[in-house]
Amino acid sequence: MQDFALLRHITIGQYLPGDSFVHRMDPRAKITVVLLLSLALTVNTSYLANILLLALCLGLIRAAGISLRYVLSGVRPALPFIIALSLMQLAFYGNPSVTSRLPVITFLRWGPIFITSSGLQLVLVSLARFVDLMILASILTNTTPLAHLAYGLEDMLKPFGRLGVPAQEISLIFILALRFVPILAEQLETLAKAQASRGADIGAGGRWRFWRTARAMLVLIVPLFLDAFRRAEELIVAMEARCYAGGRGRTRLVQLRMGWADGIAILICALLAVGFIWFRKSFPF
Amino acid sequence: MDDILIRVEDLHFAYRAGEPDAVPALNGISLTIRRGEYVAIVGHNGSGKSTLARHFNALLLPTRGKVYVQDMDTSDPRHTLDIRRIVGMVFQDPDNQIVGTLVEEDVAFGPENLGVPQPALAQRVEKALQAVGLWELRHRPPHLLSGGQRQRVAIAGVLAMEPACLVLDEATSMLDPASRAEVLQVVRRLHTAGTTIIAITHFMEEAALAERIIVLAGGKIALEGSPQEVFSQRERLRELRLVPPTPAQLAEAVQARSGVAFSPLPLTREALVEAVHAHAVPLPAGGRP
Amino acid sequence: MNGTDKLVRRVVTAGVLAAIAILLGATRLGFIPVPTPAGNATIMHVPAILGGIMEGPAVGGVIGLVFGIFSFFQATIPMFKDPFVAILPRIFIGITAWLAYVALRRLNEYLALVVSAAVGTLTNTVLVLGMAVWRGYMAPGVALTVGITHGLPEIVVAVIIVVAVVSAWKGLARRRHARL
Repeated sequence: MQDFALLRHITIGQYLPGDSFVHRMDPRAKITVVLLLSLALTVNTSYLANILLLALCLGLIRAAGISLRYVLSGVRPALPFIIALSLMQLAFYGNPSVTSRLPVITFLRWGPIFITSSGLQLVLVSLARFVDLMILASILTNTTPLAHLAYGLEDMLKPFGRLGVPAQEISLIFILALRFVPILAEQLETLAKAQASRGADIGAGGRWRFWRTARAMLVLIVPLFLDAFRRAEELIVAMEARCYAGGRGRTRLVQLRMGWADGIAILICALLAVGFIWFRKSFPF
Repeated sequence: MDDILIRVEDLHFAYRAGEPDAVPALNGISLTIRRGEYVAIVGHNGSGKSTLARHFNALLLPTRGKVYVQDMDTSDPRHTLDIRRIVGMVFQDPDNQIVGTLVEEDVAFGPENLGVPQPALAQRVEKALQAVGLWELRHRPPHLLSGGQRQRVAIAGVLAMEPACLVLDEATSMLDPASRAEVLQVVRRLHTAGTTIIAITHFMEEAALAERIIVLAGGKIALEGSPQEVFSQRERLRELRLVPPTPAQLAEAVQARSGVAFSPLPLTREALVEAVHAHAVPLPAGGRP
Repeated sequence: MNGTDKLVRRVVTAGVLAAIAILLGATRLGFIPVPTPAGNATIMHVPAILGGIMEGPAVGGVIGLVFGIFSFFQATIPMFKDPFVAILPRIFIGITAWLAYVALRRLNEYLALVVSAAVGTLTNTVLVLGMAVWRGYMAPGVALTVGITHGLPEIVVAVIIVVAVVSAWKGLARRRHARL
C-alpha cells in the first residue's frame, strides 16, 4: 500500500533547476552531444580511451553542478545484482572481442570457468561505460525539463518529415505520456485504496503467496487500463474541440534557440567522437 | 439576422443511426442562440443535453436537420475548424482535457493548432491566463493545481482561441462548492465582457444565473423561458422531475404560509434575503411547517 | 470517422498507454511475483502489445519506444544502460503483436489475442536477451536460462492481462453506446 502513497508527486526524470552552462544549452545540442559521446564510448574497449571518456563525462557533470553521488544514488539497491552479473561475465567470458595491444593472460581455466585478462578488461570497461552512461543520461534528464527534450527531439526529427516520420505527433505523444503519469498514478492510488478496503493485500505476501499477490495486482492493473481508455476517449473529444487536426500547420509556444556556444560544444564533441572512433584500435592499452 | 450566433433547425440525432440498434437521442430541436446571450440548458440524465451541446461545435453532426454557426453549416467539413474556433467547449473533467505539462503550454495548445505565430501566440496565452486569474501560476504543472484552478486552465485554453461563444458541458459538476463558485465567477465576468455563454448543467442554482433556460426531456425542448418563467411553473417542473433552486423553494414555502406574493420570484440567496427584507414578512409565531 | 479522427485517436491512445508503461516501470506494480527462480515477471511491455492490437503497428512501436527510453533513463544496471538493449528491442513488441493479431483475427478473436500477447512478450524477451548476448553482457547459456525462467511466466501473465483488458473494454464500449 505505502508503495502507492504520494504517487501523484511522482517525478520522472527529476529536473534540477540551475543556471550552469549545461543547463543553458539548447536541448537539441544536448541530445546531439550525448549521442556523439555515447557512440564514442560504445566502440572503444581500451583502458586508455575509457579513462579519457570517463574524465570527460565527470568534467561535464561537474560543469552542470550535479554531484556524482546524486547521479549514482539509484544504483545502490542494484549493486549486488551488478556485482553478480560482473562476476558471471568475468567467469564465463574468457575470450571476448576486446581490441587491445596487451597480451592476453589466462588467470584460470577450470571446466566452463575461463578467466583471462581480456575478460577482466571487458568487465572493467563495461562498468566504466555504465558510469559514463549514467552521467550522460543525467545530463539530459536532470538539466532539461522533459517537455523541452520532447521539443528538441521534435525539431531534430522534423527534417525526416518527408520520409514519413511524424515528428510533431511523436513529440505530442511524449508530452501526453508525461502529463498522464501523475493522473494515472492518482487513479492507481484510488484503486489500491478501494481494493485494500475490500481486504485485498497488495504488496504483502512474497513469492510463496504468489497467486494471491498476483491476483491482487491484476485486480489493480486491469481497471487501470480501462480507466486510461476511458480518459483517452474524453481527451480525444476535448482535443478535437480545441481544433487539433494533426501536426501540419501547427506553431509552438516554446521556441528553442541555438547559440554560438551550442555550436562550439557540438563541434568539439563531434571532433572527439570522430577521433575516438578513428583511433579506436590505436590506443596503446 | 446578424446577431444570431447559432441556429438549430429541426435537429434529429441518433447514435449509430441507420443500424438496427440505433439509439435516438434528439428528436426535432429548433432554437437560436443570440450573440452575447447567457443560456442554460438543463434536463436530467439522458435528456440529450450533452448530445445537443456537441452539435454546437461539430463534434457531432445531425442525423436530420441543420445546425448553423454564424451561418456556416456544421456538416460541411470545410467549416469544422472555423466553427470549433468560434464555439469553444469546456468539459466535465479538467484532467481529461488538459494537454500540456505546464499551465502556459496547455493554454497555448488551441492557438498552436490554429497556427497562430509568435509573438501573437504568447500574447493570447497571457491574455487568456489573465482573464481567468492564473497568470502567476503559468509555470506550474497542472496536476499540482486545485480542481477549480485546473478547470480555469481549461477555460483559458479555450479563451486563447478567442471564441465568440463558450459552451460549458457540465463543467462544474466535478468541483467542490468553493471551486464551483470560483469558476462561475470567471464565467460571469466573461459574459459581462461580451462572450456568449451556453451552460449545460443539472444544478438549478447555476441555471438561475442565465438569462434564458432551455429544459430538455426525451430529446425535445420541454420548456423554455427566463429563469423567472421556468421556475414559476411548479407543476410542469415536477413532471420533468426538476427541482427549482433552494431560494425559490423557500420563497414559495413562505408565500404559501404568509400569503405574501413575491414578484419576481427570488432565485438566488441574495434575491431571497432582499425580498424578505422588502416585504418585512410577518412570519407566524412559532411557525413550523 | 474521418482521417483526422483516427489520427487524434492514435496519438491519444499512444500517449495514455505510454504513460501506463512509464508508471509500471516506476512502481512495483510492473513486476508480478511468480513461483519460478525468476521471482518476478515484468509486465511493462503489455501497454505496447495493447497499443499494437488496438491501433496498429505505429502506435505499438511508439509506445515501445517511449517505454524503452524511460527504462534506459531509469536503469540502474549496466545492461539496461545500453540503448541497444533497453530501447531498440522494445520498438518491435507492438509491431509483432499487431502482426500476430491481424493474421489470426479472422480465425478467432480470442485466439488472436492470446497469440498476439505471447508473440509480443517473446519479442521483448528474445530481442532484449539477444542484444545482451551480442553486446557482451551475458553468456548465451545464462541468457537461455533467464529467457526460459522469465519468458514463460511473462507470457502467461501478459496473456491474462491482454485478454481481460481487451474483452472488458470491448464489452464496455458496446454497453456505453447502447446507453447513449
